[in-house]
Amino acid sequence: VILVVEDDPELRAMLCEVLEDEGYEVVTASNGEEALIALRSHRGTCAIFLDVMMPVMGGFEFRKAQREDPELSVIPVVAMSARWNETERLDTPHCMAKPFARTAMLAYADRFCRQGEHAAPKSP
Amino acid sequence: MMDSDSKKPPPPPSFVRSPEHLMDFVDTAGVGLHWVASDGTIVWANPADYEPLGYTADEYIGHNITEFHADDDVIADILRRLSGGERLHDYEARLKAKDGSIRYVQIRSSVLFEDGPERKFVHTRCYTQDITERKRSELARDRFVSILAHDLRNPLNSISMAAQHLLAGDVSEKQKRTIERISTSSERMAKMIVDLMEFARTLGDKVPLKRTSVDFGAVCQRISDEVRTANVGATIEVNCDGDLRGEWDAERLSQAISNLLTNAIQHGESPFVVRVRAVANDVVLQVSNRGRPISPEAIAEVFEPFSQSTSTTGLGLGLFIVKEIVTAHGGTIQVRSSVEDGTIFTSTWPKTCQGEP
Repeated sequence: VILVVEDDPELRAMLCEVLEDEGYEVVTASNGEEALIALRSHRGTCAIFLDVMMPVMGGFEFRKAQREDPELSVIPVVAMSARWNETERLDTPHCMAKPFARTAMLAYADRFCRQGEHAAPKSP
Repeated sequence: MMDSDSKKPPPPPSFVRSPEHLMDFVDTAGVGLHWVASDGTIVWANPADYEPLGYTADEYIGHNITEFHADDDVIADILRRLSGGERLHDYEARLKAKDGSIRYVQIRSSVLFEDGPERKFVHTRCYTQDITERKRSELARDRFVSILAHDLRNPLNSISMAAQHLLAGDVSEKQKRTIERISTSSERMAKMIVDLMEFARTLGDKVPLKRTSVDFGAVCQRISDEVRTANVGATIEVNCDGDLRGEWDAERLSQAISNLLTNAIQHGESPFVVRVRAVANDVVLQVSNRGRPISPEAIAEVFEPFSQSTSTTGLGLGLFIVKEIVTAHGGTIQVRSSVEDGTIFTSTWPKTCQGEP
């Protein structure tokens, strides 16, 4: 299962469609709070595509909560960032600057969900 | 000046006929002036100091300065510094107006100490400039950048992703060409957003830098490879000479080289040459192209924002951004253009930080 966390409904639907057409099972959330609920009810999530600026609970707060939970902290996070200085604070080496390419997203999905790689402290 | 460390004050100029004349002068000044005693009490102020906050003289003079500051830690810091003999230059603070609104001010202040071994605190001499309007426009600018960065990129990402997804499926040649147009246009728009963000960020400020140890030649090679991939058929030569290691902001440097090369390709002809050499404590970068020279009129405005004559993105910000990046690194950039030599952009990049803030 791949979790897509994005507050823009159009983009969320588009990302979901691309991943599903490639055969992935996708769960979506529109903010960090929904994402935590989704993660806890869908065990076996292999990757999280995470927007940074979101209402209710943004990417930074989500990451903090995720890292504090040992079960969730191993799931690799790919930041979908719009601003150049956001990803460092998210503490993940995996990042796609918006607007990013379909192939970039599918490469991450393949790496984490088909080849089974876990959160590794290195760049793609 | 009556500072303890200065000499005796000069006598008032002969045209000041009475102390009332001096008071009249400070009372009508356009800048806020006040004196504060060592316990924080405002002992004197002119109308320009309290009227913008909505107070009368009685509501202001005789009260403690801390009552008018919005941030307790800020006024505590100000008083601590001043008591220690420090002079404040353009110290920013937030004041509370009578109606509850916040005014932003810039403060210049120092303490008048009595002559003698005890250096007794007499009062502060504080000049307050209201900068609320400037602060508001800065906040509006930040909001503008945020809209560019975030709100516009999401729909753009949807458009480009949808086009790429369609292309990955089963489409006719005609549909393919149409979808490719959507892709190309959205890529161009993404580039414009990046440039507009850069422009908005540089308004009034220098480009912020994160210097790390960088091999200038390696960055040139990498960017040239990227630009070559994106511009099939362009011949790009890279010549490196000398020790090209130094401390620059790698991301900004890449952006500058990329903009220079893209500009050369859009306005010139092959071969495009990137020449990098170490000269004393600088690295000198030359990006040149053949083809029609830039006219003298266009040369004059080549680094100006929104200069349409040399626009690389449709906005005319590419070379402006290059200049901002070079300048932030303490370097310079020039351009020469002629039929014989083609067009050559020469920039110098000091290898280390040279007293930039």
